[in-house]
Amino acid sequence: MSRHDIIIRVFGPQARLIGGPDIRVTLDSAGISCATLKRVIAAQYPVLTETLAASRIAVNFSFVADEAMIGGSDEIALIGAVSGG
Amino acid sequence: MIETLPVCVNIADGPVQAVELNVPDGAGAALEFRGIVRPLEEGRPLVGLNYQTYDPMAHMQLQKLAVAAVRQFQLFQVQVAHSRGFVPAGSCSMQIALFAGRRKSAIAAMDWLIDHIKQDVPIWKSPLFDASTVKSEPS
Repeated sequence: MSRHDIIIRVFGPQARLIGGPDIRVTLDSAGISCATLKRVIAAQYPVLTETLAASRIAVNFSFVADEAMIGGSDEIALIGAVSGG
Repeated sequence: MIETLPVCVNIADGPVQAVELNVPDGAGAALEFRGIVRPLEEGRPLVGLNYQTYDPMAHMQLQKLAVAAVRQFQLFQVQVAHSRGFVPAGSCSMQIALFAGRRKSAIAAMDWLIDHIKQDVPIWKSPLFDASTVKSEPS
């Protein structure tokens, strides 16, 4: 099984929590669902755990369901609670 | 045939320069909302707000919501402008203008659109407080 890293963009309060605009997570398999990705983020970035329940994953600039699969070349973003307006 | 939807969305740096509205033919109700940066946040004087946007997703989401509002409420037109970056207190950070046939659908559409913008558009604001009001930590 090959391990690989993916970059996930983060914003707003979550970016302040981790001190940067993105996180890098290490995956054990090539294809994972968004729900699994959120569990991996929680394990590798415990500081984000509390905010993940209210967070959604965006793939290539669109929100996706928890069961959606993530590919290696996708742009992935963690969208925490937003506060526009 | 390609459908042309009466929607205009814009995200730009700094305060929104609110524009005068041109009422489309046939509209019976014109409604405008301006979001203004409040001078106080939790009782503390605020210099302004910094808006971070996830581009181009923020624009795409605003566009989707405006189109959905046109279809759901049978609107004649929707215009949405939102700020990116710093907006000083007292300035406009968002302007929504919409036009409907009737008052009730215009008001319902505005409420629906603002609620969804605050839930589904990747924009985050962070307050910039007046440094003279920041409480010092006990030594």
